[in-house]
Amino acid sequence: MLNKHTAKNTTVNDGFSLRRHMLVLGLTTAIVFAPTLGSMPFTMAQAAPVVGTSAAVQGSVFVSTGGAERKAQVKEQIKLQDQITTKQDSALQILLLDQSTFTVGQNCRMVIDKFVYDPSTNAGEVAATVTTGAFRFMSGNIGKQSPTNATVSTPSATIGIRGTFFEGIVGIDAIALAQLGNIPTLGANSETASLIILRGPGPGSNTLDKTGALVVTTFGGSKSVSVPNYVIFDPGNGEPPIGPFPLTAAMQEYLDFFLRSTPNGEQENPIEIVNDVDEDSGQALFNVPTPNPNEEFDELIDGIQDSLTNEYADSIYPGPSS
Amino acid sequence: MSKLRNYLSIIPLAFLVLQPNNVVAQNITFEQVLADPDDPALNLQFAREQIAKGELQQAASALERLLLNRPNWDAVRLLYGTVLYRMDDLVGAKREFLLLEGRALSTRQEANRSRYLASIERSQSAIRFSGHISVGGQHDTNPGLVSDFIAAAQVGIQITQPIPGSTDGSDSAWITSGRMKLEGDLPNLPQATWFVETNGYLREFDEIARSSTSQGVVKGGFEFARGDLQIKPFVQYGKSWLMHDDFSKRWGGGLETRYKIDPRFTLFAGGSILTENYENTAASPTNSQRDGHLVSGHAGVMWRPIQRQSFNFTGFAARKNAKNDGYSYNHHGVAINSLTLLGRGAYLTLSGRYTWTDFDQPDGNTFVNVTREDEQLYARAALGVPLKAILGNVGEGNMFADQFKSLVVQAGVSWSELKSSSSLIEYENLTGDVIVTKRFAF
Repeated sequence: MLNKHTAKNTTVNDGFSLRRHMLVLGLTTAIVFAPTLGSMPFTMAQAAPVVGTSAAVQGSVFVSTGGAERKAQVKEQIKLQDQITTKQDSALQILLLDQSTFTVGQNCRMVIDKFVYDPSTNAGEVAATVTTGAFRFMSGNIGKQSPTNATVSTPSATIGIRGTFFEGIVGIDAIALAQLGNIPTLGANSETASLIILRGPGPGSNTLDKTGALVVTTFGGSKSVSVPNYVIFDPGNGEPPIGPFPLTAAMQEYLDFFLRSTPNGEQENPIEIVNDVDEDSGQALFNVPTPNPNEEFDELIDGIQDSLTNEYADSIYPGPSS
Repeated sequence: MSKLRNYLSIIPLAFLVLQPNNVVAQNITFEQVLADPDDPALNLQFAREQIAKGELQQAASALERLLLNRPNWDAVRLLYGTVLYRMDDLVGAKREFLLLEGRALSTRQEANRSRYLASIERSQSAIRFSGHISVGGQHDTNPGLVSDFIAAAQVGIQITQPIPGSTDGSDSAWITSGRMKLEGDLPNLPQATWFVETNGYLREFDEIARSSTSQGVVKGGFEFARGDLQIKPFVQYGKSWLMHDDFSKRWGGGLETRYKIDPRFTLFAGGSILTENYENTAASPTNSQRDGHLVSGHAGVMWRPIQRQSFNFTGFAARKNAKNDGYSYNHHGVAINSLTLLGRGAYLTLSGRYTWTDFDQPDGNTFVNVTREDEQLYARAALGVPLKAILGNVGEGNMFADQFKSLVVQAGVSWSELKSSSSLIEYENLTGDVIVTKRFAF
């Protein structure tokens, strides 16, 4: 049964305006229509639904809605089918309504193709396409609830995700990166080739997140990876993807240039962090209990008792006794 | 089940004294973050709350956002690296720790950075060594595992009138145990390793010598992982001593498997086939009749409703075929183990076990007319606290003090009782122990 909280949040594509409408129309209306809104197809006659927010903007990032391009700002709504373009030395983090996160590096183009989300059940579907550049995806509630319903496409491959965070790069840089890892690139298409890296959570993780895995599928076949920091390369020419290969230090360094921030000045500390990082990260919580040595001696109980039981057995039980 | 999870989440509140003092339960909503994604205080607090819930991807996302906006916020980068470490993205974590090299970190921050970096480099090396050494003492109310009947006989009372609760006296022992494991990656096989490990245990009582025991086991094998499935075939050789006399040898092999259904449920199962060879000792001339084969198996589920709490439910069974059928038996049991993480490395373990063992026939030596049917009950509670949780930042930066603070002190209480078709071997024993443990890895 929907409660007030559920109804308030049964926003599918337009998380903000729809929520206000729901409150105005009242709970009854929400209860009746909420389930159908979850799967309502988006049509061009409607305003494009909001799928998330630009959470961090670095450098020159542009968002194009229906052909009209504007410079991206922090806190700006990102809508379905918005074309995201980043220029040199630029990056953007998009926070989707299901708590998935897209981070795109410089010279990237991407679009959120599909986003259906019911916050009351965390069910839904998310699909995005990256046509060029580097990106990182951290799956949110949809990926947790329905692992097969989160996908990212490149020009020649589809990446199926299972509760994971991963990185990818599309285009000429994918080939360059593959060559750094001695991955064969003969015949690779410099426009459509892609390289996908699983980052985690790995089998050694200490979290309540699912262990990550992904499948890269092309017309030629598919490859899966479940070990963090292993790589699958799609040559982008219709051939099957190849791998997985371990991510080398040189590949990592190349990719860092696109996707990760680097200190560039004096340390700043806008908020004092007083705790030990062990505590803040939760790592201090975990410890392995010391085994109880006495349990190991259980198998010796009979031996310990032998001398006494033998001595007194005659007193209790008739018959010969040793 | 969610109600139970909520209930369980209350357990650690009793131990708030062990919590970081600035993690305030504000419950920042995702809607607040969506509305203010560039608010550093809000996002940092959100990251901390997600960490506390075990939702590390959300935490990493928030920290990454903070760093995109403020790349020189070194304290957040250190935290981000540690979160990646917890998520098993060691390559990503290493990158963040290396970026902080030479930055103006505090002594504690630099110590943590170096420690995590060393840990990553160790886990990425082809051959790894880890282990622990524990030393301590224990006191048993009935270390000789003496039945009331024997106790009665010992004081000259007619054997049919046992003295309830009597034993041949309580005693104290010093105990030590250790484990060393050497492991390495198998070439060209991701998530495949070989290992050799040794475990040793020693218990030396002050007066009741027959209860002084020691044991050593060497085990070697492989560990393979494929997705959420882990398989570990092994061979082992073990030896035990009673009163410093050779008592038994065991050798054979087995298989352990684990399958992680989801982050909260893991199935596990395993089994082994061991050959047992017993020596005749001064105290026990019938031991060689226990020689034979032991086939055992176990299966269970681990449930982790919240990140601070996990339970193991295990069922096990074994069949022993001995040279003398009087020592052949069927053994069954169930066990439950609970681990509660209290914060700052402190933990509470609770465990209980019930087993029953049905022997095939009287052994013809000690028991001529009685076929043993034993039931054993066992319960234990143990509280472990790292000295660092008590001493805090005392001696920070001093290598000796840091090593000392890494010790874990564990105090435990165990109770066991054996009921049998033969009153002669029934016993009850209460044990209190304190153990100090040092873990190490190279």
